[in-house]
Amino acid sequence: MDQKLPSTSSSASSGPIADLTYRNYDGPMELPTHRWWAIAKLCIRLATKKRGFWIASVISGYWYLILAAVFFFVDLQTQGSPLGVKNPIFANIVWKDQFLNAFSISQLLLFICALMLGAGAIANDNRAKALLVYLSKPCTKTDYLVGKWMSIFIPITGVVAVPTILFYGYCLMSYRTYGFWTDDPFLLPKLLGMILVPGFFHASVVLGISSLFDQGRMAGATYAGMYFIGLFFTKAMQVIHIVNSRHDRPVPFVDTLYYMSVDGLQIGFAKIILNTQGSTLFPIPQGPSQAARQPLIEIPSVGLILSLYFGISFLAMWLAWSRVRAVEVVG
Amino acid sequence: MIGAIFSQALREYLRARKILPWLLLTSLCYLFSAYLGQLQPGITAQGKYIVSSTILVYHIMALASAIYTTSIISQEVEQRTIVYLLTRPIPRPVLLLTRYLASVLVVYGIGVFGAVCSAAGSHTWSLLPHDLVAMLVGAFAYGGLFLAISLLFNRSMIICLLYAFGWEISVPSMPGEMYRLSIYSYLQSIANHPDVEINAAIAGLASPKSMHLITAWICMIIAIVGLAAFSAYWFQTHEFIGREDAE
Amino acid sequence: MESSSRGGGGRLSVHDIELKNVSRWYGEVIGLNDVTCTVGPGLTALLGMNGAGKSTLLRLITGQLRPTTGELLVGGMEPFANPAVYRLMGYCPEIDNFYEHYNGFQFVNFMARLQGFDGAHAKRRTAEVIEHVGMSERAHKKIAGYSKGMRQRIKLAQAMIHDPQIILLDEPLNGLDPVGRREFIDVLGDLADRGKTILVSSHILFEVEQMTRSILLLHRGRLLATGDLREIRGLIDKHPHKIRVETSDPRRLATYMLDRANVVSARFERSGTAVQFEVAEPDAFYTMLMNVIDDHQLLVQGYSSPDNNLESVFRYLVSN
Repeated sequence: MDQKLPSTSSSASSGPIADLTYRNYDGPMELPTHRWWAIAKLCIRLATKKRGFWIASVISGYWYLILAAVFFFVDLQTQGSPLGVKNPIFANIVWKDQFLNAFSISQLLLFICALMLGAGAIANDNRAKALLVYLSKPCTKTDYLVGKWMSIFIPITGVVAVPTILFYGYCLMSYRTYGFWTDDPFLLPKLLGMILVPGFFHASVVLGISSLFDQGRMAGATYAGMYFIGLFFTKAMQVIHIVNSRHDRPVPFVDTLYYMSVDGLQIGFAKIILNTQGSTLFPIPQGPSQAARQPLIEIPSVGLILSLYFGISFLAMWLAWSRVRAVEVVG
Repeated sequence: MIGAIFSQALREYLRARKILPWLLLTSLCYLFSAYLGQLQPGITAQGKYIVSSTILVYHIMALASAIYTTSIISQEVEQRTIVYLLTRPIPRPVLLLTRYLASVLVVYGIGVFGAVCSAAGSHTWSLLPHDLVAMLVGAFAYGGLFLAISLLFNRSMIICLLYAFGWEISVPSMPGEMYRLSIYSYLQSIANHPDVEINAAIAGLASPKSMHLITAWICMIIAIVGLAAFSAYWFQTHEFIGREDAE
Repeated sequence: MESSSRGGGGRLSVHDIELKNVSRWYGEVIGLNDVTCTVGPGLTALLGMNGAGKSTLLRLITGQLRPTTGELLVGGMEPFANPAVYRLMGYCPEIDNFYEHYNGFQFVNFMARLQGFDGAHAKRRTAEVIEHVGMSERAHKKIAGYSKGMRQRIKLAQAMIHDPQIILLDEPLNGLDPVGRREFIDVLGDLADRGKTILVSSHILFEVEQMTRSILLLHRGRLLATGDLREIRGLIDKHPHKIRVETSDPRRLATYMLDRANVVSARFERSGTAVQFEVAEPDAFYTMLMNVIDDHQLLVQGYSSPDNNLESVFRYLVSN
């Protein structure tokens, strides 16, 4: 006779025999300060799995690569010059302007990185009702938002920082004799400040916009709309600036309006940090009529740029803060 | 059935939260063209209109097209509501092209509104009729291109935006015949704006190179028909399953 | 495996769903593996654990996907992007997504218009079908505010709007309360009685058991079993049938039964009022049991077959 004892159910643990089929986590709990990092890490991992992010990141530094190549070959061509004779091209270069140029040129690609990282950051959670899950854990709204913000800020800052620091190192080792160090000994801390500009702005704004939607696509479209409309506007201002310069009738207000875009604010901020209005790669001495053709716009007003930059960023952060709620509304 | 698809798409595209930002944006063209004289002393009325329409309205239209056209299918796929459309007795090409027509109409409407605002702001109406024609062609051409891209790629909106603002701004000012690869160049030929001083300045950004009007028309018609036919074929022969994906 | 599953037990209909060696790959992952079966009028349950391939099968039948290999016919036609098939078919997908800014009536009415109804007819039909699923009072509220159960009803309404011959339902009972489930099952029963071909996917065996005994059982992309539940159970030789007999003297009954060839084992319950036998041939066992009761004047209160249910069949088949 086959007489079996009743089998214990895997979920029943109230009997005398301990149920060992499932164990709760009994390891050390992380400190509350690390919870935002868990969220940030998860989002960064997801973002860095996207091939498009890596492509945009690598391409964003292309101007530094071109500069390095140009400098290398210009240097190579003049190596046969007599000792003590400096290369006239390097002698006229404004070094910090090269960083400003590369920073300006990378703006579109940094914006695309921001879209990929941040457009769906909160919108996708809204759609999946994942906020209910996040905020049902011992994880506060601050943890959640800081985590999400950092998951955009850290990668973008990294994307700006890597080529900038590498190029700085290259120039420091190769062109000290051409004034790279003496022209501006505080260039490195200034660059470190400039590096933070896109990450801070994009992370704040894209997060604010993302919190308004439940589709990443719509959040991305909205930010893209704002970005490109601003860009057209600054292009129009650039055209007007050129025409006005030709007729020697400058309108200073046009120069201010040139900074009224996502790119413009960041470039303006970078100009303030580096204290330069920028120049072309190889500035050649020229007459007034030629100089007028260069679309170089004056350094903007510090108060205006900083208040707009931080005003928009904090407004967007407040928007995200007010929109993130762990509530599912069913009528 | 076609009427139902068309009206549903139109209703979707004309929802206040979708259309109002565009109308608000394009209405700024009025202020821009009206006050351009303050920024650029000596500019003519036609010059104001041309700056406003060429630099702002055409590009706003391309942006609107990128956003509206990619939503024809991508939005349904992302919302996963595509299943309700694809399991109905409607030939897929009919479904696609009807929704495409609705989006073209809305994008054209946005362009027309912008052009009218620019004309009202600059107090010149003589150039408007040419632009209305060119914008209709533009709405179809951008729509056709972005529709094909949206069917081919998952993250189509980024590609469309890059095309609209990277390609369309830089390629027309490239040397040689490269400008022929840009829809914007054809539209400018069809709009056929007179040469004013501002045009020379725009040349540094996106120059409307000289192209014969007939050539521009033929190229645009071929492109529109070709892209629409390709999109219809692709939609008929490929699988489109709802998915949750971030753009 | 080639067999047919017929809840209604009717002849081969032109509305049958036919799969011949159908496989579907997603890159290197196989979603459905060499499935051959037909589904005819009546209610058939498509069973399987999560990831078994149920949704893939339904997407293939509804023409959203194409089979990688094999042949799939619905009403004698290939379903992929085929409008003629969609006139025969109504599909209630598993997803919970809608045009949220519509109300229930607008949504179903739009589906009716897409189905080809003219304006007035669409409205009339929408009102009828919404009443049928018990949503009349709430049909004019926005879908965004609907509960899960209300959404399920609206999905069913849009699937039934054109009175299709074939109705496919992907996990339709999710989110419904017990009363709603009962009503839903009754609606499906009515439709099956009217000769409709209904295929319902589910991974909740208890629910399926209430609906039908005709099943298609998928596991890891393969069709493990198809047909009537009892017939399938009868064919599983590896696991003897369990028969529980309630009697005041279980040990005496076991003594008489255990020397019979087809009785494999007996297990006594602690209560002392029942014994559970494992038997190879249940029909022969029941005859023997009656004889033993008669011969030895045993008092038997009742008997039942605890593993002649879907869950056991599912467990046995999946564990093989």
